Amino acid sequence: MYDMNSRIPYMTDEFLKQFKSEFLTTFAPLYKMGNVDALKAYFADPNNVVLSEHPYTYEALEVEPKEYDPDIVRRNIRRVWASLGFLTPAQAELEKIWVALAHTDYIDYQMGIYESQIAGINNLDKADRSLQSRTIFVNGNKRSLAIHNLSILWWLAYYFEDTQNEANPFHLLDFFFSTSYRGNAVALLSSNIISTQNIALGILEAVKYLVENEGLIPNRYAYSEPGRILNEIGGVRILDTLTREEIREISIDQLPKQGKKLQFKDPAEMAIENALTRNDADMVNFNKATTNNWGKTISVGPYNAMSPEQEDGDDEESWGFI
Amino acid sequence: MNLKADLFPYPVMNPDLDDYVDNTSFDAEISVTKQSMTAVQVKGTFSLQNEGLKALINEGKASFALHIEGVASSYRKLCIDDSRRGVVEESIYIRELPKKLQVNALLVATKDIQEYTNTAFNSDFYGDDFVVDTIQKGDILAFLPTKDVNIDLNYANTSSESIFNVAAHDKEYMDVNLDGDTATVYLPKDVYTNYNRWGNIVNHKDYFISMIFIPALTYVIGEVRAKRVSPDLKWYVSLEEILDKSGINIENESAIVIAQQLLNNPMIEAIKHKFNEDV
Repeated sequence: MYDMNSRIPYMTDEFLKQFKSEFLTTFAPLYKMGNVDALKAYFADPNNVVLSEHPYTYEALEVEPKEYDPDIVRRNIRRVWASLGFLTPAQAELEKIWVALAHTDYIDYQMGIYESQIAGINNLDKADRSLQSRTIFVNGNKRSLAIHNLSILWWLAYYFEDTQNEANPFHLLDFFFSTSYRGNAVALLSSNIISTQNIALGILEAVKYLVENEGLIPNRYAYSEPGRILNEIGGVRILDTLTREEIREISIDQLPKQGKKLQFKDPAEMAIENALTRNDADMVNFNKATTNNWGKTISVGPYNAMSPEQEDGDDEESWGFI
Repeated sequence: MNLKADLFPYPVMNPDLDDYVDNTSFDAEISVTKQSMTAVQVKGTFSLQNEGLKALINEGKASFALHIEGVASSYRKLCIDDSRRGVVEESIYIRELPKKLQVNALLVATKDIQEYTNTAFNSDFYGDDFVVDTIQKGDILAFLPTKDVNIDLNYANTSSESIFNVAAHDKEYMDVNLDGDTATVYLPKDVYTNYNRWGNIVNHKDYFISMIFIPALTYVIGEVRAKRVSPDLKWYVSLEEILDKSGINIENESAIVIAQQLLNNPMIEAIKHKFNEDV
């Protein structure tokens, strides 16, 4: 659904304060009861939400199901960027815009995510915290932007859209979304090292290279370690002077040396995978047991390896969603 | 970015390092001035006496630079003196503006430099003919201690209560969450309702401050002392400002005493109002 008459909404400071203060007691229950009309009513009140002069073309997002579907995310990020890519970074840091958007034009997506991914969590406190962190900013600003249901997509597009690739500017993101992306997005976007597009693109290109050519398993450490390495280098060398290609080369050189935090596939398994003909790694759905660096056997499909935290089922908590 | 006078793998000029015999010959005057209600200008005026490093600048292999980073914000910029005037200026606008900036004055390599040597290398450490094989593009050649600058454009909150946000939850006890840019105090729903209604009334304000913010701030100070919180968070930066303005060192007093001092010792007035009302 397209709406070319939408305008960017802003919550008033007072309403944002009220919304956050009373979220657990007043607004979260509306989610639980599925009372979309009541939520809409709050955000339709002109005393609570002001429409700016910024027009934009709204396009509905598909709700991500509980079972991860990378193609839905790939389509959604293109829609978000097409609709909202004109926002400046300063605007895109504002909680009052993202919370307003999530409860106006994007409310069906917001409620859909709650129903598909949060409502079924057995631990009620955990469910509340997950809903809270995906709806309002309860962590530091950078981290909160990486967790919020809508801003996560905008900021991923901002940092990782590759305008040098005219055929497909989203090629790096298409790779990134091959595995469940939320935890990896928090690992990447929370880091102060990801502060320029050059650095961001260089890191993701390096990870992609190592995954596709050296068998790096794209778990959370694959995305958090480059930031840590560059942070150490940044104490001696000013990263902002480096090109994207230089960042990429440093990351490719240094990542494999980080020891057992990073897992690499057995070379024999890599050879088998590379021998298969496929256009998209996600089209091949085979699982072979392989042994990670800890000597623990895990089953992997292409790009679907899990970190130990994910295997333990604590991924949302360890990634900071709750 | 807090640069430290630590060990580099090659000689670096810094007043706290002895890699160069003329280790104070690199200097910069940094100023931050308000340009308007919505902008500040950061300016660095550089000076350098060391001839070897000056030659690198003249050859286009090194430049003066200011690295400006906002604490508790995503603002980060490297400003290079491309024109070799020895001056770097950068305007920052309010939408981008964090409350506190860290400014580093640097001399950085702008190209790879092969076989770098300098007559001012300290021979006690490096011998008489020390040569650095390669200085890579981006490597720091000289730097000064990081300068912390607080930005005050008349919108900064500086009261102890202001670092807190108060919210309601469905529990029967109070809790404090320090993960966000504002420290959040969670109150039982009925307490929250009463706080909202009475919390700013003169005769009741000190009571609520004593009941809620003294324990909350005591907890916060304890967590800060134990280094269990991120110094990048906005409330942390605000608390540092408040402590600085109050002349309080959190290592010197107990957390509960500091909390009461920062909140202007509300307990006496709270009890006075409470028991005078009951009489």
